[in-house]
Amino acid sequence: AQPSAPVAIAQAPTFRMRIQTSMPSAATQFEGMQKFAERLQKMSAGRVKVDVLPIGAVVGLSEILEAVDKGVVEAGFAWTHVWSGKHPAAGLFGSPPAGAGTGMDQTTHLSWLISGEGANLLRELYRDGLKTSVVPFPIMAVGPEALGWFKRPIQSLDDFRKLRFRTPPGLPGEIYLEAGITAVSLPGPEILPAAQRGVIDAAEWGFPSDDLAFGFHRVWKNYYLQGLHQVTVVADLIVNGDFWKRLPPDVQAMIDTAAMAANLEHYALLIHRNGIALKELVEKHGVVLQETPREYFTQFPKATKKVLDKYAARDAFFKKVLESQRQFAQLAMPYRINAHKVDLFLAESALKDR
Amino acid sequence: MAVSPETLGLALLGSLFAGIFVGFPIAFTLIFLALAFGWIGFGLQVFPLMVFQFFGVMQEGVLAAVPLFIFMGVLLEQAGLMDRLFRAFQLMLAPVRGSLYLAVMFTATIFAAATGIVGASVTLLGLMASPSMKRSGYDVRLSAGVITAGGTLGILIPPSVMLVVMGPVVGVSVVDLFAAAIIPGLVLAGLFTTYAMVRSFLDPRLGPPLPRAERAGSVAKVIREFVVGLVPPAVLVLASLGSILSGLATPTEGAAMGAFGALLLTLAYRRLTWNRLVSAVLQTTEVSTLVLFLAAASNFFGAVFSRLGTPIMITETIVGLQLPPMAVLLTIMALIFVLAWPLEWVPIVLIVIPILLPVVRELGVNLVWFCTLVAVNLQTAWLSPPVALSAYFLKGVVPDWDLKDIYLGMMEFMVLQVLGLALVLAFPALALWLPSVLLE
Amino acid sequence: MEGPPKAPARAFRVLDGISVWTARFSSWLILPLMLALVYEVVSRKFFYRPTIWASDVSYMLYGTLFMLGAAYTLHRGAHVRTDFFYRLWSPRIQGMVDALLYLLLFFPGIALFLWSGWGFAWDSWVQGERAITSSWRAPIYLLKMVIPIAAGLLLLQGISEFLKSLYAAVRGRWP
Ligand code: NA
Ligand code: NA
Repeated sequence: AQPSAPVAIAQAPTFRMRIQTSMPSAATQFEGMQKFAERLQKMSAGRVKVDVLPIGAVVGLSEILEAVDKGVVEAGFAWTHVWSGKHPAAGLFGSPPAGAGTGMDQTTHLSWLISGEGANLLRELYRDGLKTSVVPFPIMAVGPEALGWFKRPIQSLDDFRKLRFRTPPGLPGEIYLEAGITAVSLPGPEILPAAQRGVIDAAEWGFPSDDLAFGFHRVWKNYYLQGLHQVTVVADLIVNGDFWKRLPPDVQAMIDTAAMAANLEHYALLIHRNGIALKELVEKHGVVLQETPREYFTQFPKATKKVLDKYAARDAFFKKVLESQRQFAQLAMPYRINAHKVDLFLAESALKDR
Repeated sequence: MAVSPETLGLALLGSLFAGIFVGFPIAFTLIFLALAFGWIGFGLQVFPLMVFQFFGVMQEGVLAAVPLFIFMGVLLEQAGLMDRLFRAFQLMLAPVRGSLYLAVMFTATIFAAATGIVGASVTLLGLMASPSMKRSGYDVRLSAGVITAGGTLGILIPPSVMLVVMGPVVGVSVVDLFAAAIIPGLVLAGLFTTYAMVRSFLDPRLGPPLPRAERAGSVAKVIREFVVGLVPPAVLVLASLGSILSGLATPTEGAAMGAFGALLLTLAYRRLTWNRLVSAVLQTTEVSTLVLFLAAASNFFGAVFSRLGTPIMITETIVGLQLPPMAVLLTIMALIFVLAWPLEWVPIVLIVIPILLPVVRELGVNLVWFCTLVAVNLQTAWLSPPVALSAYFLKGVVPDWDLKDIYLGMMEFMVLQVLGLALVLAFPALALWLPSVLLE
Repeated sequence: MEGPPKAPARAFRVLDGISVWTARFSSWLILPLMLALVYEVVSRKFFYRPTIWASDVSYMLYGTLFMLGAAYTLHRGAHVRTDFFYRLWSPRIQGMVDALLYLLLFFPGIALFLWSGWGFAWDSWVQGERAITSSWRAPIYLLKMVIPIAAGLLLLQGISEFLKSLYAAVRGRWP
């Protein structure tokens, strides 16, 4: 007798997908990945069983790509720029500083990755640049990240230059050095103790929701939201190539779709969470929201351009990606900026009148 | 018959216990077992996993403090600079039984406030104290217990690598955790000291007072010896703890400052010769390697165990029991205690805690208190044989102490830690009072 | 009293020598490790000029130090073992157990480590991989290359220990 449809589904092969993430389990992005996992399990009627693993569960941050490529885990979650030590162009995908010096904001960055040339270039990066067979999906946009927390307010870049500032690693650190900012590299766990004892005078981490959990407000009260070093950030889901090939086309489509949904879902979640966190920081913990000196917005992109052009001169693929982003920004940003002004105009009146 | 990977993980644990007792170097036993079971459980991918785990330990900059603190300890020991303090301390308390235990716990507590890791504390204390203890005819078990237990305080009393890792996992501020751990850390130090002192008071053979002939003639002389003996450790505490607390240095840099201070001290006391320096760097390599290579091997073992899914299985079983809140909390503590037997704190904090976290949130208990309980509980992982790194670190620097005696000595102190855990469980204020005073 | 047979004795003396001489060089890394961090502290605190290299240099030196020391530590018999049964046995039994375990347990494990570590390091070497922990972009492929070198040294020292165990198993005393 012919098996009935439900039996066929029940007998369909199941796939175990362990995702080694780059986040501790209390982080917002970890929660985002758990939602992705739930959605994928539901969509596939349980044919895909997903385990979302906190950082270090199987491997640490810097080994995620190789662990996925070699099949130690079936999938991984990390920001593309973590691989910029293997190929500098990776720094342009995960978090192009100052929008690659082109002014791309978070939404435009996503637009480039999803609708522009970004998707193809991302695959090219993983295949030819990083020499892996992983299949990448942009899965989570978390920008803009804050400039950071400061011991005392700054009026100018010269004030900034007098502080020992913990910068994120990679390209941003290089750019701050270029701009004459005293950049200190410290691993995540050492930042807060170092801040408390005055080893450093300022530090960047993430956005309000993560910064609140991190506890910066206990040490410093001056919070600067407008920063350019990670003004736009997109993390990738990377899937082991052989595992991907074994998946039937419908399951492949489900992963693709769930990743696309995660982009939107997390974008929405973060605006909500950051709103709550910022309110708590200001109202409950007496944090003072400061405005970044205007000078920063001319000097940082200038330094960015210098550093990025230096890399572009050395590497053809880097140049190709940078050109693509610059062209895309030139095309899309005039529309984006002019349309976006409505938010500011509205905010000026609406928030004031309340 | 197909065996589930999780069950395979249980077999891995069993083999570990058996394998360790055969007597082959533990690091290589761990590597082999993890490779074999990983290969059976999930295939060839276990080979790159081993390399990833080793490399992970190699680039863990915080651990650079280990060889630096060991270098500091070796220099001090070779130059005999700490001996004077120990001798003076014992002279001062000469008639008091067990004065060296007091000296060790005193140093251990100060040292705990300078380092965030266990390996360095245990090895340094072992290097410093064991010669005096042997000379004075101290009981091996109690001595080993005091040194290993005192050494593990380094990971509870801030700065602490364990709390730094735990904060983001649970989503509480590391600063809160640091403040919360101070009093429980001191309570444990107090328990350890009291125990050692009471035992040696009841049985003088455990920590004999100095023979009368060897006691100092005049009080003035003893005080002078003490003050002079106090100079080297004071310089070092200033160099390492001082530079950390004053905001000069991170804990790793503090270790470098301490080592540098020790080097300058041996120069100042004219105890530095070329041959001594050569043997000091070689000994530093040997001791650092036994600590760190073993740490890398046990990280790899833990990663295979996690990749097999066994910790998740054990935890989900407990969660499935559906008990009342306090019973749940006690069960969780018991589970962590049991898991800390074969595992180190790293896999427990990273894998087990996140699974339990939803349950703990349901209970509505204060998460800082919960973390402190976990931290005090995990202290036992260092003192629970057979995977008790402290024992191996001590054995590494005091090879003529029997590992069996070290095990037995440290297990007495493990019981004290359970007592400390019960105290924090019964009186949450022990953990929560200081953060509320310091930080609000 | 007869000494160890000439050929094996020469073999394990040469192999031990390799480990000892490696350690005699690599052990000095503790000094630059210490000095780099002290320099960083002084430069940052008193001149407001943190280095971009000190933290990278410190973990690269520390990682190299303990990995290259592994063979030497094996030679010194310092890798910790649970010896409460082991030390009760006669040298003959000890030798037999050790020889067997070196064959079954040590060589497969470390050989796989060498093989796998070589692939890991070679990929990084070809890529010219840099660390992203600081803007210095430290040459991380050098640190990765330490893994196969350390595994190779361990393997050589393992052969020496294996020969010594055989000697004890046959002659009833350790060389
Ligand atoms: Na500590
Ligand atoms: Na243990």
